[in-house]
Amino acid sequence: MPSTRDIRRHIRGVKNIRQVTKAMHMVAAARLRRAQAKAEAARPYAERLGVILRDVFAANPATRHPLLVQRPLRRVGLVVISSDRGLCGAFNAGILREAGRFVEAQTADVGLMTVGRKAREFFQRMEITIDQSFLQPSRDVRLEEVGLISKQIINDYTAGQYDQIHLAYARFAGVLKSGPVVSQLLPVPPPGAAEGIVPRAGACQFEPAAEALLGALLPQYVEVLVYRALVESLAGEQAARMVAMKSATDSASDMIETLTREYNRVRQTAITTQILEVVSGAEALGHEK
Amino acid sequence: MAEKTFQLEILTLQRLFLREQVRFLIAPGQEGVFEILPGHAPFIFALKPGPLRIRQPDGKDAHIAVGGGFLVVEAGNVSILTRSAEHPEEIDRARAAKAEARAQERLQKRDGVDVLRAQAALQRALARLKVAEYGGKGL
Repeated sequence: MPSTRDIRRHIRGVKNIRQVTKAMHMVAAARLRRAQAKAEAARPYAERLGVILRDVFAANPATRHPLLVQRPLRRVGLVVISSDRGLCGAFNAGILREAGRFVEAQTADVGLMTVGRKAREFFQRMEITIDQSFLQPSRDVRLEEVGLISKQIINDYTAGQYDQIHLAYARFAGVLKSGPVVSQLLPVPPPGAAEGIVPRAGACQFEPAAEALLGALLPQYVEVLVYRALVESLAGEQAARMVAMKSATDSASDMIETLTREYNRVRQTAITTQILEVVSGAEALGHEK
Repeated sequence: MAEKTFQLEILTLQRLFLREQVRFLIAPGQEGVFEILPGHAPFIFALKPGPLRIRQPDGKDAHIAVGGGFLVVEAGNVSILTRSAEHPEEIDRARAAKAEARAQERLQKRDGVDVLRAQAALQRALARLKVAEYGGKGL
């Protein structure tokens, strides 16, 4: 049976852990709010840009712009967006699982790119070749950081290294629409086709002409898609960490309760034994008289 | 009689930068500077980094540095989508001057430099400097 001192030490240890997990829970909650606000703030811009793209595309549906044209698939690129840091539950595992499912479903060759340390380390451990890896952007997700990543992706795509590029990331849009997804980045899916919106023909003029305007719009649009994926992943990561740290804190509390009960029992037993010893000792003395 | 105005909205990825009524605006288009007055037909312009001038309803001018992007005229109102927008007082002149010098230097060397990128950086720096100057004068 453990001594009271051992149990006390154990309780102290668990309490320290609980303090840490509680702090991490609160930090994650604050960062989640900030990331959510960021994702929220980007939405009007992204939607407007989508509408512009649709209008310009509608006026020029026969365009052969390289970022829109479907090519025969020889090699597919998959950008796996993970986090740099752990202690966020099954967050990264979920994305990697989704990415794995995607790779298995492909008939063409797949080239992997990673964002964040966790995905890179995972593929390295599995001895799977990574074409390229990026660090996770800082918490403010600066436009320069995103620009670098999206520019590199666009370059690789136009250079013919990939014929299609997908993003595997954690979508974060409300409780129901959150979770790991894979979505196509390049070629940009023909705008408006999915929504079934009838283009307003000839309603709008352009400067420069539609073809050149598309050339300016598409890289911007891709950048916005990458930005959103990164910001939503960040929010997802913080949400996952918050949940993980909450349950860790709760488990620690449960454990402290159990340990305290055991400590009291051990202490009681020790006292009872001591009393018994004193009493039987006294009795032994009394008989001698 | 009050002069006619229209609504101008400037959006960046981070925030709604501005939404106000204006009498007219002069914007840096990719194919040259252009002006938009109330009642403009639907139009989509590509912008290059440069100064945007706004005539406010009280007759005063405001200047904003925009980092390229797109300007849309729709139903008489104007939206600008841009990577960056700054008021004169937000501009760090020393930083912009440094960026200009760096870009000039890169363009001069010309070897192994991404010329387009350096040019864009130069345009952005010049736009900031110009806006900071105008804004200071309260033109």
